[in-house]
Amino acid sequence: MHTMIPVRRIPALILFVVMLSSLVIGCGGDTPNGPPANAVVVRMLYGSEKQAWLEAVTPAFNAQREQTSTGKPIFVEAIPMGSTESMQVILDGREQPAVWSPASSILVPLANQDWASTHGGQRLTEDAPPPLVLSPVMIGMWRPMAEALGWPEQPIGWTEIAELAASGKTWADFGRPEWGAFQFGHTHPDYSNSGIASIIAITYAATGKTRGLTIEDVQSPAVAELMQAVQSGVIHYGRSTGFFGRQMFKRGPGYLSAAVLYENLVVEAYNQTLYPNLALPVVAIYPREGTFWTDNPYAILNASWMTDELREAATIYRDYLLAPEQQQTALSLGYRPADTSIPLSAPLIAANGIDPQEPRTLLEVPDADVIRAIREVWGATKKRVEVQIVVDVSGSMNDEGRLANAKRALAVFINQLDDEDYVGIIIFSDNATELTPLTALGPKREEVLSRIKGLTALGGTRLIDTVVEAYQTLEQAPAGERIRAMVVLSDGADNKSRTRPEELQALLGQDESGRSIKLFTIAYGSGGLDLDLLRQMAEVTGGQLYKSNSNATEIEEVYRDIATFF
Amino acid sequence: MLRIAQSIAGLYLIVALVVTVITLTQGPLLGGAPLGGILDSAAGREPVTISIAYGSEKDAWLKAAAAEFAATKPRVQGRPIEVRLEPVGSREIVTRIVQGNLRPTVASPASSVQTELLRSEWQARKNTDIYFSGADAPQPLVLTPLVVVAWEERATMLGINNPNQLWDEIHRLVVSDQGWAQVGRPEWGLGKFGQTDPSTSNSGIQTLVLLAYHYHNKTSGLQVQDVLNPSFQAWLDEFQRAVLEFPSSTGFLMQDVVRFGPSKYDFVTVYENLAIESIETAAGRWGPTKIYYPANNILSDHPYAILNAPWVSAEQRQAAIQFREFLLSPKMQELALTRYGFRPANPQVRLDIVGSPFETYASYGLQRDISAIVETPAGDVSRELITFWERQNYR
Repeated sequence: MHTMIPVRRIPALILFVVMLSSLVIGCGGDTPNGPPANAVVVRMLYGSEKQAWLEAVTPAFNAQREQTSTGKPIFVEAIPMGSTESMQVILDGREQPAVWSPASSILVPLANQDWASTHGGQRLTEDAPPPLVLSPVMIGMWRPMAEALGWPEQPIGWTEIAELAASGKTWADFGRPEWGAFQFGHTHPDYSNSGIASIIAITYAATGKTRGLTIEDVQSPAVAELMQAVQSGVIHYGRSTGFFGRQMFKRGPGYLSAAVLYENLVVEAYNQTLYPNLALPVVAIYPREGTFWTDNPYAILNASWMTDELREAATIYRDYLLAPEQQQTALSLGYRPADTSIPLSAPLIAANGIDPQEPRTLLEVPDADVIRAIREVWGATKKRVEVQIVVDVSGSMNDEGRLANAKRALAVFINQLDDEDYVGIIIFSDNATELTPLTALGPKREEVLSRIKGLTALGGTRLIDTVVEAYQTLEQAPAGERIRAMVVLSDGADNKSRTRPEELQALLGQDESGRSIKLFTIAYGSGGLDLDLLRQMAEVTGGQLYKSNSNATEIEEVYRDIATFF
Repeated sequence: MLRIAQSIAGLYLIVALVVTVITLTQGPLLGGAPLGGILDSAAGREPVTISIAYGSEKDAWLKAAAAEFAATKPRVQGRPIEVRLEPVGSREIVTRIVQGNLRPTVASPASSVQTELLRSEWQARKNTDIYFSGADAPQPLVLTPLVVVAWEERATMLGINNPNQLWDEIHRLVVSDQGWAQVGRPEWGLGKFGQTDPSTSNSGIQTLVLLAYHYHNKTSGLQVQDVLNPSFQAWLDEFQRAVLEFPSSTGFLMQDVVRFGPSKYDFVTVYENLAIESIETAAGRWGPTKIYYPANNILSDHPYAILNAPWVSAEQRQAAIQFREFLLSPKMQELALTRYGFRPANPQVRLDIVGSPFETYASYGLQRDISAIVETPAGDVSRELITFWERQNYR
């Protein structure tokens, strides 16, 4: 069965839960936590920002064994996913859930419009599904940094953040050279709601508008100019907003100066169990021009797979989530309850970096066509990546069809990169061989794909030395111009290198800034892996370790996940 | 062996006893009617069932009142009366009755704007009056004016102190490119007005009616040509463009106001009773919040209209009258006031009784006196307002 167990951090955890849920479905009630026999199974895809809350309250619902009017037990399978991503998998038919609960109702008209175009004008869901919990989109920033910018006397908005990211200024310009460059983060708009919110807000800032945005506005040169400038300050993208929050709070002000987050994540930063060593206090900056809410609509789908029974079960679960007890739990985790009878109280207080009386105004959600035009501008101006792909082709890669599956997954990964991205590939066994140098992908894409196809496995595992060499090539590229990353796949322990693991760690750990080279390591297969080494390599750089079985789907999913960072 | 047999026999007896008790009280476990029902019909006392289609605003009050009514064991010609409550959007009541897929005994939308729309649309189709005249003509159950809810700080900043200028002040704010910056508060953004969707919600139409009367500076005799007046349409358009979202019902709108506060709404029109219900929580989340009354108001009179339609029998009409009298009794009217914030239609019940919200919430701007009420426009005038709104595609 599935054994891909990404080892650390939340996006990895999300994948784990996705895999776990599919495992539950596969077994059809044979597992102790699975649905009972003849259950009505309510499958819900939801934006991962409310994972903490839904995981706190859903098991209790399942344990209650609520029944439909026909007497069948109700069982909920709640699956966290990037909000935009969850929309895509429903629209392209990969998923058929009963309920969809993205972070924000921004996505509802987009989904309805798309669905209608392929389903004879029928909408996917009602126009205004009820909200479950609320949290404003805001900019999470270290308090002393915000103060250095004149906050709170001087309000900060999207414009100031965009201009700061674009200006090339460093904190030295504000008298604080020890903080280095202004390093900024937002998620990938194709996967995450806060990513979409970020690029819409940047577009508003470029036009000086706060509502009534048109396609002509979006296509003006000023928008592309500001968008590109802001993207130049981004350290990487990613599918989860929580990932940025957690990276920022764990690594401190030298790593990220600010990130587009949800308010509940700022509240979470003050949880001393999660962050016992928070470097500085964090504050929520509610952009002065206005922002967006995440309102977590609960959308029961209007699709061919829905039955009256399923709709009834989905409604019962919704009412459970909206009941005062569950709403109170949401409040305790830093979300604003949708239940208007619950007063806002601790932990939603100033001592936790937030202001419950904010935001004061909103940006208007543009029409679906305008959002698409913004996405295009972002696609053309996004920060490019410079990625060294390092692949183990030692003899053990022949086991369990590992190399064959890795080759297919690698091709998928390559195809998710843009022509302007720089890609280099190094393979290693007894020695390292450069399959292709670190140059633009566009002109060599076909050749790269064909060379990947031709790979064969033979010999030992010279992992550490190869990583050092690949790292040093990448180091020659200037910091900050592109996202610099390495994607390292290995299925065994090193048995050929001269460099010692400690020396490698020292090299990888020398740059602690957000613009450092990020390592994404893949512990592949079930052979004699050096899991600790792969974990440390990733962690010390701010990247991530993935563990994947030799299974074709799993390794492909790992490469897809890594691609969301670029 | 004997002990096992005894246990099985004992268990069987217990199960049989339980099944018998359930069958006698709740009806058989597998199909059939409960014993009580069989006895009733045997004696020819089948209930007279009346259905009330009503605007969801008074849902809680009607449910409480219907329960108390049932407890009095009401009868018509010796047969028990059964009240079936069907909450439907006020506007939907009209469209569905006209389309023929809603056949209630009584229609009770939020306002006689709706009953007038139903009368004219029914008349046009069937050439008869859908209501009785005289004592059984539509009668108001409870009353509630339309109010403007706003954040006190913002209302004060805009200088809202004269009800005669309320709409003009709001209009001045929402048309300005500067928004709140014109009064020195750029962080509040552009002016934002809030109301419901007039094609689904009564308070949305009422807002348009009040704005139309205000623009034409009159309180009665609103005409179709007033609505078609191009400069009025341009003025109304400016108002409607300042609305970020049009919720489908007033209850949803008021909940939204509490949830999103001043980030989404500066000024909203809602029913007074809903403002009473939520003003404290709104203030708790967002700071001082107040109720403002436009100089000329419009009442939701919650008409109780027994339908003069082929599907309403003489017994149902009688039963509907009994339920109406019960709802208008001082006890039920007091309940509507103290628990749900409605103004009683029965003049015997005063607004200053103990527990009245008009005492408790006076500091939020709640007023007993309403200066002037505009005339309910004829159905075709309201229809024209909705048509204009729908054509502009604000949603």
